[in-house]
Amino acid sequence: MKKRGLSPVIATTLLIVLVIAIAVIVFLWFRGMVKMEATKFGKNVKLVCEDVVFTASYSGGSLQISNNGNVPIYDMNVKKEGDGSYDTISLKNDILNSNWPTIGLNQGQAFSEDISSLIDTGTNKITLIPVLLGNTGEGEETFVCDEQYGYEIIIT
Amino acid sequence: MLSRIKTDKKAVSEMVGYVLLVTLVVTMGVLVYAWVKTYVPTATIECPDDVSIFIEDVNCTDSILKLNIKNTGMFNIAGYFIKATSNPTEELATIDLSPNLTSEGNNASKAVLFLQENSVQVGDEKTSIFNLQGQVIYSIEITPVRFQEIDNKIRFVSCSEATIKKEVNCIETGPPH
Repeated sequence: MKKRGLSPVIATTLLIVLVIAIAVIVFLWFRGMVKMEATKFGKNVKLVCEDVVFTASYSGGSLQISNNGNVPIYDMNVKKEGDGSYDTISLKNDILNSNWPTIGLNQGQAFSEDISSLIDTGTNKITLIPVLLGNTGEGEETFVCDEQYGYEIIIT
Repeated sequence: MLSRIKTDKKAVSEMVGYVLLVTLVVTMGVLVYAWVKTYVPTATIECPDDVSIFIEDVNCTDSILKLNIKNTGMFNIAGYFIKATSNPTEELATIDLSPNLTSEGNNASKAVLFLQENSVQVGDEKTSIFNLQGQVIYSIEITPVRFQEIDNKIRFVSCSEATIKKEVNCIETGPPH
């Protein structure tokens, strides 16, 4: 009778341990599958893209960008369009000895660089797309804003 | 006796079921809350509309730029960003002049700041002197900055809506310093 009395307790303990173990395994697997969204200033970095304010101009091969807002711009992608194709370059990483600040373009700062060698003759439009630095649970991560937050410059 | 044991077993099973269910619901609730919270818009970092600054006087002699500004807005400010153009055709001012500051104030955060707090009160005038060290400039662009409390944190805010531009005659190069 005593043996039969112990059985439900052991079974219940085993059940709980099993459920917790499976839950932990599933959680770890799911966390790897679903990337944690980055945040900046305590909100999703996607929403912060709306607060990015900058102006830019391109003339004579020189690109100038001024960060007029209060969100630091970590990097800027330049999408070049023309002749039915497009290509994207990073002002921070794809230009040798770039003037782009290492920590990004902070509020009030401006950038100027001659990028004529990177603009092909067929290019008729460039779009500047801001890249922000957000925080995830595992550290800092860059986030490329949607193209709708970009700044278009028509090249004549 | 047998029926009593059966009843006890059922009671334990139900309790475990409830505990697991409640734990699961609470855990899922916490996870969903943490995720959804990041999508709730918070206060945007921006300046009040009535921040304004005016250039009372600016002159440039022997590569020394003397600038006198006045706070003409409704709020105190901490200082300003100052940038210049080095070419008459440049649309945007990209040369930061704050490192060239030689007079009162400091150039922390790439801005000319007079004190840590918003010390330039409404109506105050401030004169700053910049040694351009032979740098040719054609115009200057000034954006007021201030410290303000947002979500219980003191933030450094750029007031880009109040940016002003002025052409300056600073094309003669002075002796190198």
